[in-house]
Amino acid sequence: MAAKKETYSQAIERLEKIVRQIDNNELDIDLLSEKIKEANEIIAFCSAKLMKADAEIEKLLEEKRQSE
Amino acid sequence: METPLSLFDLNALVKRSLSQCLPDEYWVQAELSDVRSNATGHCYLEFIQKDPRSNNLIAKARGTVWANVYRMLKPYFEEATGQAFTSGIKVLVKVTVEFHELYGYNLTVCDIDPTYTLGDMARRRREILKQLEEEGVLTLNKELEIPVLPQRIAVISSSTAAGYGDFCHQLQNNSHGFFFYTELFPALMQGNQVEESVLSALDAVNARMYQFDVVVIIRGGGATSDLSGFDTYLLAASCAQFPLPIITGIGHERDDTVLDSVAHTRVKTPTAAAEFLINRMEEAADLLDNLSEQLRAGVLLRLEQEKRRLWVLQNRIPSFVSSRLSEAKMQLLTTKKDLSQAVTSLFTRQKHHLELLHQRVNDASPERLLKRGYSITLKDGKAIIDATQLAEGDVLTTRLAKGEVNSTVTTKNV
Repeated sequence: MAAKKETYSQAIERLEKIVRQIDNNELDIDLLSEKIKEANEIIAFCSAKLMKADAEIEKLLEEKRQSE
Repeated sequence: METPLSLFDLNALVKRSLSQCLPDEYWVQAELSDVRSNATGHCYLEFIQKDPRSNNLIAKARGTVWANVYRMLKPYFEEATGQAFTSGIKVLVKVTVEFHELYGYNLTVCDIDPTYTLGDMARRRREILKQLEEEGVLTLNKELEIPVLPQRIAVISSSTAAGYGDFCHQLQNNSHGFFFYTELFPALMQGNQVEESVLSALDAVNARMYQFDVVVIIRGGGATSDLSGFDTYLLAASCAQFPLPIITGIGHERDDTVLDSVAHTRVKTPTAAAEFLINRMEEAADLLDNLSEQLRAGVLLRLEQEKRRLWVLQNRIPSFVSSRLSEAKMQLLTTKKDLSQAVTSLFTRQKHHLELLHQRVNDASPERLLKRGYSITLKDGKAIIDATQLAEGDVLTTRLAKGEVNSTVTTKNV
């Protein structure tokens, strides 16, 4: 089995850490763009979680469709 | 021997005696059993009493509620208690004692006091809760945490219930566009089979618990009768220990059922249950929004700071350079001045020295001495400075400032 996928809460924690680092001036300016990219990816991931069915739920939906 | 009575006569006698001896209306506490109502609207039932220890029947009487009374008594009772007028409950009723020649002993109900039943139900609920507490399971479900995103919802309800439709509609049409997955685990939500039916639905959810975040038990609006199925020990114990948080919305206004008491969260209606889940999602979405706003502001601030730093550095370069330049220029000027002064004084000194030397050279020249009257005596071209070098008869040449003369040595004085 592949490594367990990151949960929403874990992703949010990662995002909180980046925001904290930026607020506390802990990030080197050279790393900033990389971190912003990472943060944007997390935000996109989390927003998608809120609005869309993920793969696991898609599977459930598929099973439901087949059983009907 | 007296003339034997016919059965009818005897029964008529019993009837008369009873009505004479027990002419009043009596308030009686009893448990209902075998409650039936027929097409004409009359209700027939059994009143029973059990021994509290052995649970054996110790008294029993047939009862009747005539349609004209039952029409009002039943809704009044059910409204007040949230409990169907059905077998198994304890009631306080006002009855008249009657005897019919054909049908025998019968209690005719003319009034009911729902507070007694309420009290009895409350006592039963308290007993169940106390037992759960003693078993240490009462608050287990409340101690579970509702996931940050409660999106996978196992719904225990009746598929035909209006409440189920309301719930799904509310979730699927939430104004934020949050995604929810609901799956119905059908169960009977009223009648005698509530307990059994909900328990088996819970089992079905439990078998697939990793596919769900929460369980919602809902029941449509409509009449708030017959909630007794949700007041049972087995159901309460099962819910209390259920591994997923349970949210109840079984649509009633009266005191909580036992199920409500042990559930993680209790709301009044299916719609409220949907709202609860949507709110939870909203909280998550708000947190995400705040974080991304914080991130944006933080990055902008950081960039602004860096820009200012650069700007400050940039501005310092020209003034720094010009001050260094003017410093160097000054130094150069000073040096130049110093140099010319040094050169001038050196020249002056050298000139002076030269003049001095010149003077001395001039002073030392023989011409000068000759002019002052000195002369040089030479013999054979060599200057004589000692008389002992000469002998008598030597020819001497005397050089003067102008011209030379020759002479002969005649005497020497040494």
